Amino acid sequence: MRWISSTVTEPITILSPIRTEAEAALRQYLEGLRNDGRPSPLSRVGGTHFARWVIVSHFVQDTSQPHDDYLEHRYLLFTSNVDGPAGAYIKRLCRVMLPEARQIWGRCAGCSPSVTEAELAAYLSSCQTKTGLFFSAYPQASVDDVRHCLNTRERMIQFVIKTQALSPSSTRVAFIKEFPA
Amino acid sequence: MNATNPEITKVDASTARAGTVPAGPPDQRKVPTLTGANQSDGNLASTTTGTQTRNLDGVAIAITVFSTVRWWGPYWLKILFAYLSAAPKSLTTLRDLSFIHFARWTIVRDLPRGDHEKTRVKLKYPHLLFESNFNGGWEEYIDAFSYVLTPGMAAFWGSSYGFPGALPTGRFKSYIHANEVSASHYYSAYPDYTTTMVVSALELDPKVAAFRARAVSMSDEQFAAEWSAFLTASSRNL
Repeated sequence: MRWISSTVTEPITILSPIRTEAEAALRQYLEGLRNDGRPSPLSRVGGTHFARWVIVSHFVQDTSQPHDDYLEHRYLLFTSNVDGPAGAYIKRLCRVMLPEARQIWGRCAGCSPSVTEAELAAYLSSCQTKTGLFFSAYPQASVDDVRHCLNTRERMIQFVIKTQALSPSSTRVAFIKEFPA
Repeated sequence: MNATNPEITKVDASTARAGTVPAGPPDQRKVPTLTGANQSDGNLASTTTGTQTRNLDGVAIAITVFSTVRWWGPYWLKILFAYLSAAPKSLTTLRDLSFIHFARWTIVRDLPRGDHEKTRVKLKYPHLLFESNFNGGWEEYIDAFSYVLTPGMAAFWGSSYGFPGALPTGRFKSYIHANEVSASHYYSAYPDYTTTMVVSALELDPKVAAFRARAVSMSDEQFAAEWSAFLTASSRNL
């Protein structure tokens, strides 16, 4: 039962005000993170299941609203579904991808482009918004658990295909070899 | 908040749903289209399933929606969230849909100002942030939500201004399109796998480990019989 760990996935929601003059450059930077086939910097941050950066320019104003509700700044929304605890994840993110994080949150009000790891972690924590309801289809599985089990499943599918014509004896030997304890 | 800020898309629920130009400053008008009236740089490609490519990583799709909530909405939503959190079986339908990895609903009442004192500015209205990480097509996702979770949709979005009801789905899709914000960067740790594949793999792994432990001491005849039974039992996970 390797995959059942004590890890519980948690949501992180961070909203940071973007400095007005920096929005276009921030958008360009975020949209270019995968240029030339580069992997996302988030792939280096262990425990990240899914994450996104979203630039929120405004709230949609519905005409049935009695009053409009405008944003003073554009906001950068960062959400991540992570192996908890969230505080440790934020510190890990700041440590592992500090250069990229400076390019991103360094364009936000209240965060210097030369922010230190510890300052950035404090800044991100201060910009967090509490999640009301969180749904996970597999709340007890860490990223490593998921990848391990997906690997087992892939190998099992290939094994079943490969051993269709083998005798029970050969299948048993091959199975024990393919899936070591 | 600043009442003179022109950074706004004004959407009349009825006209947006009819596909006409919503009100608002001319340079900010956005027309609901197949890919939505959502916030982007206006130059995003979209797939045939109606998903903008920056909301994709492999087969994983991101959806991010903000809706403006009536004053009483947070009170109702907090009760709803507390009930659903305390009775996780109530989310079984969501789990049974089997195409959602993670989803969240967050009430945003204030935002950081970005000053050194780390103060927050209170919004005139509360806003409901919904985000989901799923697989399949955008249209199919909203359809499934609308048809399978019709009462649930009203429970979550009934307090939001402009919510047209979950059915018929065309109006609800227009509503979500109008309130959706495109991601600038989206990441999945296992982009090639659907929710069903992940859940199946998590179920299969301990079964394989348990069978392997028993297989070591089986005779060939016993293995032949149990292997067949194991494959039958595990077929839904493969």
